[in-house]
Amino acid sequence: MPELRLERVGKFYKGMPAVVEIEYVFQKGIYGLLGANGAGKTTLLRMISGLLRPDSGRILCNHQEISRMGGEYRRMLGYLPQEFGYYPNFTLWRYMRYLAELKAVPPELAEERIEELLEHTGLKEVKKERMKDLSGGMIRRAGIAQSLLNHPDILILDEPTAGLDPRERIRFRNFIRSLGRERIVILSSHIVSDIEYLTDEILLMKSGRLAAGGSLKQICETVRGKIWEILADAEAAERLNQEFVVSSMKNLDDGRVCVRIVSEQKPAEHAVWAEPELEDVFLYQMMC
Amino acid sequence: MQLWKMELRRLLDRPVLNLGLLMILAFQVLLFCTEVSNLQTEIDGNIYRGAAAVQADKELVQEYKGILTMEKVEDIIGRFGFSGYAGGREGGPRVREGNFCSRWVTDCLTDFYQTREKPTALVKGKFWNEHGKYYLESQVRFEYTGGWTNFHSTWSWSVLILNVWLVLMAVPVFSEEYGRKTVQLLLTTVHGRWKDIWAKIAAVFALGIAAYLLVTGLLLCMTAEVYGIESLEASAGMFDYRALFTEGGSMTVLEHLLLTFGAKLAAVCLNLCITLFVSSKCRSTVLAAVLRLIALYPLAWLINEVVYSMLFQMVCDNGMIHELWVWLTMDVLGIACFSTTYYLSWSAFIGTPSYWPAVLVCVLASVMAGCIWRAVVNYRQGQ
Repeated sequence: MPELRLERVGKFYKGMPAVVEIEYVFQKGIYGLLGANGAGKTTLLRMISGLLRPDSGRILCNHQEISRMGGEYRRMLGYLPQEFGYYPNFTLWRYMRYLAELKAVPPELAEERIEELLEHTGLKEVKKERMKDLSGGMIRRAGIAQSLLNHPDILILDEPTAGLDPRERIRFRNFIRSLGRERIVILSSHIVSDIEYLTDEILLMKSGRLAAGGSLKQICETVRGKIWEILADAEAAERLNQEFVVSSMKNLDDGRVCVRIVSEQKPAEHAVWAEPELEDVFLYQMMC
Repeated sequence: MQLWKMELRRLLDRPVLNLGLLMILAFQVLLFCTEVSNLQTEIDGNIYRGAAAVQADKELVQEYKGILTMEKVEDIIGRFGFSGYAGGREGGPRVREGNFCSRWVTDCLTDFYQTREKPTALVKGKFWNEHGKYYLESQVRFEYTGGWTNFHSTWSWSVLILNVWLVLMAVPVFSEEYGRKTVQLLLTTVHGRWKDIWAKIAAVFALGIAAYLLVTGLLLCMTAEVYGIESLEASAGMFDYRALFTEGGSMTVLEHLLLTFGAKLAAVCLNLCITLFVSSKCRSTVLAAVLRLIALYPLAWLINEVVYSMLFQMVCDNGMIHELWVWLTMDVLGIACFSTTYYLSWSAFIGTPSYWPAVLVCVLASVMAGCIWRAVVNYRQGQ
């Protein structure tokens, strides 16, 4: 199994830092990149996929720089870009055959592999349809299917659940979960629940920097003692919402509201500590 | 090979473009047939039209076949006279009087093209010295070359239009990948950064050259069918006076044909290389097509007709042409103009100074290699 190592990786756009000195080691498992829009997730993924060269630092795969590995690295790679491009007049089957050829999948194995992936992604019935006639969800699933054509050891998925309906998202999450057993899967999302459910390790990015990294438990530990819950009436809840960073407000049956607050200080006399969740960490990092 | 086939299929999967090629072929047939149907020849009081005129002219030329001499010229004038417009100068169809022989003598050995009036005698003096005498001094091999005149004129127009088609065919190759955002996917595949790029380029060239050969082949077949191709040993100066001014001045029709074939092929290849480069620089296919089409003909024409010609006239008038740097500048400008797709399509370099063609080849090779190299680099960077 490959090991992917980021060594002080940085990237600048017109002098502005997009990614700043990121260091991390990826091994078998699912890694989630979480961050607000513009945090540098896509830039980092594009560097890992070899589309962009880092301006500083290096990315190593099995101790070799990926820019020097060329085709050998890309042979291990599966990539689903955030904006997944396709040819509207191609049938799904033809599109997959084209990409299989580009990914150097032997022709004798390609058809079987495509059938298998279309089956897994529930697209077998529409394989003869033109891409322009497929729904957004189907296109997204086609994107996942193509990324797996070459049995990649490193799978990079940029916002894979964007545009999927809840049913498709659940189905997709289960599918990704099974993929992480035998390869490195790095996915980015700003949907916290997807990251929470799917990943073994989380990289929280803020302004191009790695704000926190580790397992869900480790990440949550970083904000232990900073998450509070307060039971308040509706009026007080609204006041708290304006004064503090509130991660959730739940209406209770008795008319009161359970307000969940992210704060270094105890926000009110009757506030109690709460068990941290990923959303809280995300909010805390955004707040700092 | 499989990738090349796939890329070729992608290029062929555009019904509008295929229809465009069919229309070019149809235009070519129409142009050629119109020329043939307009043919008219008069021999000893008999008038022949269309294909019959060709046969009649070919039989007549047999009597004068071989090296052109003053005796033959005088015999033609004595027998058929000079040729003017049958329908008068103004209005009506401008059909020429006479036959191939009398028309040729009138066109080449008199000032008919300058005055448009039916001449009464061979023109001597300045025009004769600069132009007419070359035909006799160059040992022109006189044969029937009416077919090659039609062939070359139709060929040039067809290639000019074909080049527009080639731009529209090749321009989406890279720009469409940016526009559809497929480039980032393709560049992360094993073959996407090298083999596929060359497969795309090879597919464009295969289709472009095939289209050129189709246009040329169809025209050659029509020419062979209507006119025959037996006069390949005749002097090319018979239908292209510029051939008289090439080294030796004895270029045959076959040599001219091969040279022109090469020039037009170079025009096609150059056009494809520049179009691929433009395609690799633009994210919008429409913008790339517009930019390339502007540069294809209008810009080349503007540089040659306005900058080069006006400048040339100016330096000649001022007597500056004898200055080495002026002479070099004009040469560089001239070569730059003649190495554009537009002027290559007209084989404009025939009759230019003897070292120009060699320099042209070097310029073309460098521009083509540079364009392809930059196109590959631009695309690999995802531009």
